[in-house]
Amino acid sequence: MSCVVGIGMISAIGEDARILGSRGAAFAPHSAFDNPLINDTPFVQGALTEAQARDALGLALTACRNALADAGLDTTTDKVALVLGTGAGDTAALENDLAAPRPFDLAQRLADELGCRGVVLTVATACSSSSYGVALAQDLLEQGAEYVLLCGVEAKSDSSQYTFKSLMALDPNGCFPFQEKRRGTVLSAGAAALVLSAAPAAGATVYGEVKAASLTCDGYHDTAPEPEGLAVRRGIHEALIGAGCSKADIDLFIPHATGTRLNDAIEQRLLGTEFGERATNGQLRLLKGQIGHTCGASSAFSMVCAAVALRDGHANAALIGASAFGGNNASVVMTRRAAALPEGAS
Amino acid sequence: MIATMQLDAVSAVCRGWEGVNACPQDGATTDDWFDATRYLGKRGHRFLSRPVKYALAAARQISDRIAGDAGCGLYLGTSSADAEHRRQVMRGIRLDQSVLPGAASAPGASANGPAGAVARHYKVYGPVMTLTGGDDSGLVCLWQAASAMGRGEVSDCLIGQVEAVTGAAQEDGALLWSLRTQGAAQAGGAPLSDVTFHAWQRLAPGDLDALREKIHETPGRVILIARATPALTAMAEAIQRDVKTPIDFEFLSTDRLSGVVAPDMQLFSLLTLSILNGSEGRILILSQSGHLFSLTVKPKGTDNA
Repeated sequence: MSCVVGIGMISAIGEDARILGSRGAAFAPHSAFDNPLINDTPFVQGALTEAQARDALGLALTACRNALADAGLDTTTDKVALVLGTGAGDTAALENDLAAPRPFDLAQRLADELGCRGVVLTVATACSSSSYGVALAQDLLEQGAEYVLLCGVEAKSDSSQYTFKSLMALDPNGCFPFQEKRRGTVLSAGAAALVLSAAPAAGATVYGEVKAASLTCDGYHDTAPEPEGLAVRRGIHEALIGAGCSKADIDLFIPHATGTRLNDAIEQRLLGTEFGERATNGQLRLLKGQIGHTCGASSAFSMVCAAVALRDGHANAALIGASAFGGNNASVVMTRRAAALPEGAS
Repeated sequence: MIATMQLDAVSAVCRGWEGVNACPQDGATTDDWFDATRYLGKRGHRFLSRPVKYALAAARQISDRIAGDAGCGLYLGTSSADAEHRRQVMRGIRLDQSVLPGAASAPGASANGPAGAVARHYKVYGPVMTLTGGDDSGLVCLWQAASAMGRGEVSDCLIGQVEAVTGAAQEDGALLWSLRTQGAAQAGGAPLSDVTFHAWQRLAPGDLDALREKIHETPGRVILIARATPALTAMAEAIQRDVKTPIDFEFLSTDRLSGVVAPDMQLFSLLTLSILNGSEGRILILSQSGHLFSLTVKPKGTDNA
């Protein structure tokens, strides 16, 4: 178990986490690529400039600095470990110099810029990276880390855009998670960060608690989800058990919900089967319809969104889902801090 | 101490280092050393990226050790697994459309591709993850395996590293370990060693005083594995010459693996070779990012009292 004591983000809708998940703040996707082979594909860039969207380090620095400031931490005195979740890392460096070695040193550069003195690691389980990152952060905290800065980041990338196009996974009309008209996802860029602590300092703002993270693998296909959602269902059950929550406790659902036909159908069916109507009509936040699909950063945005809702009393317990190429699934349960829960809630 | 695990087998598929529980072979090897059909048969790997083929080939050599269930995990390190595919995409959209990879090759764009392919092929349903970084991603995988075993999340797992750096040296390939809970029965041959993961920390850049202190406070025989720098080599020689506070200390430089495996795989490979050669005692490993890993290895068959 860990407490969220700071959050930060930067995305197509800017840096204000309070509007994450709200309706009406979305930007329409538009073609934003110079290259004729991908300039017919959609991308949600919104408030991000082209230079910002391409700069993975810059995006991550903005989100992390916001989160550290929000937590009131000073990395020269507070020892902070860094866990980075990203699908592709610093793609601009690779795409700008095809002869150079593949740079996967983004986390190291980020830690150095921020002055983080704890261990630094990067998890790259495609679009589920950040929720795998929270499981790793929990381990570090249990093993004695004081603070862990968890950051999910994904930059705009020609090679990623082409790859999603080649899979016919993009919808030129927009990203419509869980809607009948959905035809695919729309990629985006951004970064979201959370400061986690096992024992927050007295007086610290605690948004909520990360109670459990369950990681499962489909072992089924490299890019397509297993149609029955067996591993996803197992992950949900394991996360609920790990969190000490019942299904009835969950009152906020932030599924992966990419807008692709198969992924959404599996998730929608599972949520309905496991949690009933309130999971499909009630407290459901579908972030990719607002900020696009930020791939490896997407579940960090989900956790930031849940943290705000928990802090503001809009929910008591949130279930966050993530799935990815490779068959990687994650289920994360976050709750309001025990002292903030109403009587009778667990 | 995070956990003690049992190392059952090591599988190497690298130029000049192939086989199970084998050491690098001397002798001439060619740049086109890797023949996927030798490992994976004649069909089914046409659209796979080289890192995926290496990982599958290494896993296949120890497939009898992979339980393939919800209690089985997979932790794979890499700093290059998606590079070849992404470069080909960029060449295709900028220079020559005829080289653009199609949808069947798309998993090659994910650094998670090799882990995902091994998980799919061997029905690994537990936690499967790719940890990226510089020269210590395989060691971070070892930490995560120890953490997962320590809390009972997995009972057995594969860990390792796969790299495809592309270049004249052709030092790429895959190196995998089969690990399980200490004392558990295993298929196949006798286990190689117990491996205890104690801790890892990050030292400030160039902070050799902290490293020297760590070496001196570590009980018993100490092996340090690191990339040699003039300052580090001088420190190691000073410790070995020190007659006032003598300790049983050995420094293993990654230099000895130049040309055998990719630079980013050398720390994990040197640890592996130390174990295969029967090393016993505490091993400290210093990575270029300043991470200092502390392990104890105890070959099977030695007195466990």
